[in-house]
Amino acid sequence: MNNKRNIKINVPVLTRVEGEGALELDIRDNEIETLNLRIFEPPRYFEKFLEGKSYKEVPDITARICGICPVAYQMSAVQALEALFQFSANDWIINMRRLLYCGEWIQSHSLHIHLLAAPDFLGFNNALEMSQQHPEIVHRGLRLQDLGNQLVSFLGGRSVHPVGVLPGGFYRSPTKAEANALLKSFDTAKDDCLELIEWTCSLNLPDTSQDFVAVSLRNENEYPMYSGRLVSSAGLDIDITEYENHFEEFQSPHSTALHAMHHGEPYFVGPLARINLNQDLIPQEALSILQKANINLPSKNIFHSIIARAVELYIAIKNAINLLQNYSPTDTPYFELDMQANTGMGCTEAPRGFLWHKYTTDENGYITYANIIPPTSQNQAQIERDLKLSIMQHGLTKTDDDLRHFSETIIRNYDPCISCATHFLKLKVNRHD
Amino acid sequence: MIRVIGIGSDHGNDSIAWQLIENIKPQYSSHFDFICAQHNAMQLVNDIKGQDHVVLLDALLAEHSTGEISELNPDELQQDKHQPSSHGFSVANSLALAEQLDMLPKQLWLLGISVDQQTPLSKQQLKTSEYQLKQSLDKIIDLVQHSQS
Repeated sequence: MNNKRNIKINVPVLTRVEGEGALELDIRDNEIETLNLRIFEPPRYFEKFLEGKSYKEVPDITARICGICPVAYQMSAVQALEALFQFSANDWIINMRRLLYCGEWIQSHSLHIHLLAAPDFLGFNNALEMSQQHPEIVHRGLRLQDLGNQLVSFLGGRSVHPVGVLPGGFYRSPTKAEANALLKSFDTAKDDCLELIEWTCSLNLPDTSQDFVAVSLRNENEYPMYSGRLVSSAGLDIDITEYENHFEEFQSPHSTALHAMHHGEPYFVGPLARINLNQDLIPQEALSILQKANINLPSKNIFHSIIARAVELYIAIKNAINLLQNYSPTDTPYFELDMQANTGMGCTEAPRGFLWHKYTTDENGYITYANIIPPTSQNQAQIERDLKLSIMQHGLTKTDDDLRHFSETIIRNYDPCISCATHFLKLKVNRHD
Repeated sequence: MIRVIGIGSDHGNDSIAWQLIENIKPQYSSHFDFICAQHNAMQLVNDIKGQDHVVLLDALLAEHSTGEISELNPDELQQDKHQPSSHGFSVANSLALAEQLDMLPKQLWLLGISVDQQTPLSKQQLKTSEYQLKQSLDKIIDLVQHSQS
């Protein structure tokens, strides 16, 4: 019996709010001939829109790039602009930015774990179906996500596209009473998260292994979120201003989204990259759960991303509680910046990977150049590489439905925006015998 | 208190529910607890959690902007029959999720404001909307008070 088959999988349209994509997979004689993840994000021109705008408008405009991680865009933007104007934010501002960022990580990771990823590993098509048999999972997701949204509202005025941030600080310092009221909501959150880490370790995740180059921020003093140097599992250790010397963005013919490479190779950003590169900064109580479940770091199993998200959720909850307990209002939440013509860069860790911004202004503080490199672009080449390797490991003799579901699961594993797109995968399989 | 959740954003006709809430809030704050929310699947479920009475106010896409307010039956809302994602999770999907999790309020009213995608409401249409919204809220106050007596 000839067990070789030729398969053409064509996913013509992946729709999602922030872009469109498709998956093309050609298998000939049991070899993958073509595999293209085409994220054809419609031109949104954000970098061009920013030109001519005052630096003060940048955080509110860039926040609109993503409904899931607007804070990340604001944080990288203010960091870049403050570097440009040679302003050093004080401890109060930096701590409040970390607190705001914790809110985003909590809401984004809760959403991804419970609403997007969990159904894949429990055998459901979506969260609605899953909630019929496992309502407690969705309840936990709702509880945790609500905490994240409350934190974002605390400093950002509202949970979606917050408006509290500007270069030089915050528009408002919340009162101590507001902080105390919010703190009460976190009573059971740490226990919820430790239970969540255990639960993700117990999921029946695919057992795959691959070598990949992980890249993330690293800060010796704290788990990376707001600041650090760029490091990689291949030995990179650079200041964020050196990013362009080590990473290249380029246009791929099958995608309007830019690809990014690190010295000519795909690289991986996001929660698993971060925990792999910063395992010494993970709290012992979380590490113990991983050790008990025989999850060893650094992990080469890309599906451990859901576990990494749960660990990071715990870190964010723990940091948020600490920052709220020690919170003191200030009379000076914001400082005027001294405008000058200059160029500055900023880099922070968005929930799904690091986000690098570069701006140039004229002497009046108007933007003349903007460059934004989001994690989605950076992961795209790695997703394609992962799909090729993982599908081969999974086995090409699987049914078309199985291959499609497996491909979707791999893509969803990376990033909430792409996950949204892949929920709409429509698969066309052409066999050539 | 009856919770009113205005769903929208701060630009264009999608902001109509927020505008109406801002305009009528002072007059109705003794009976209603108002929230202006952007649609967020899980947050909407959290916002209705533990509430006995909830009014959802949202823009209703129509051929022409009239500002007319209609009471909709939540069962008639079109659910996304595909596999919903976070971005694609509609109000109907959120309500379906709340129902499965036994988190729906005892009474839920869904009010739609007819607008098209581009034409802003005229001052007169906005006044008509406000008037109709007040009528709807007055009726809801009566219904809730009646059910509690």
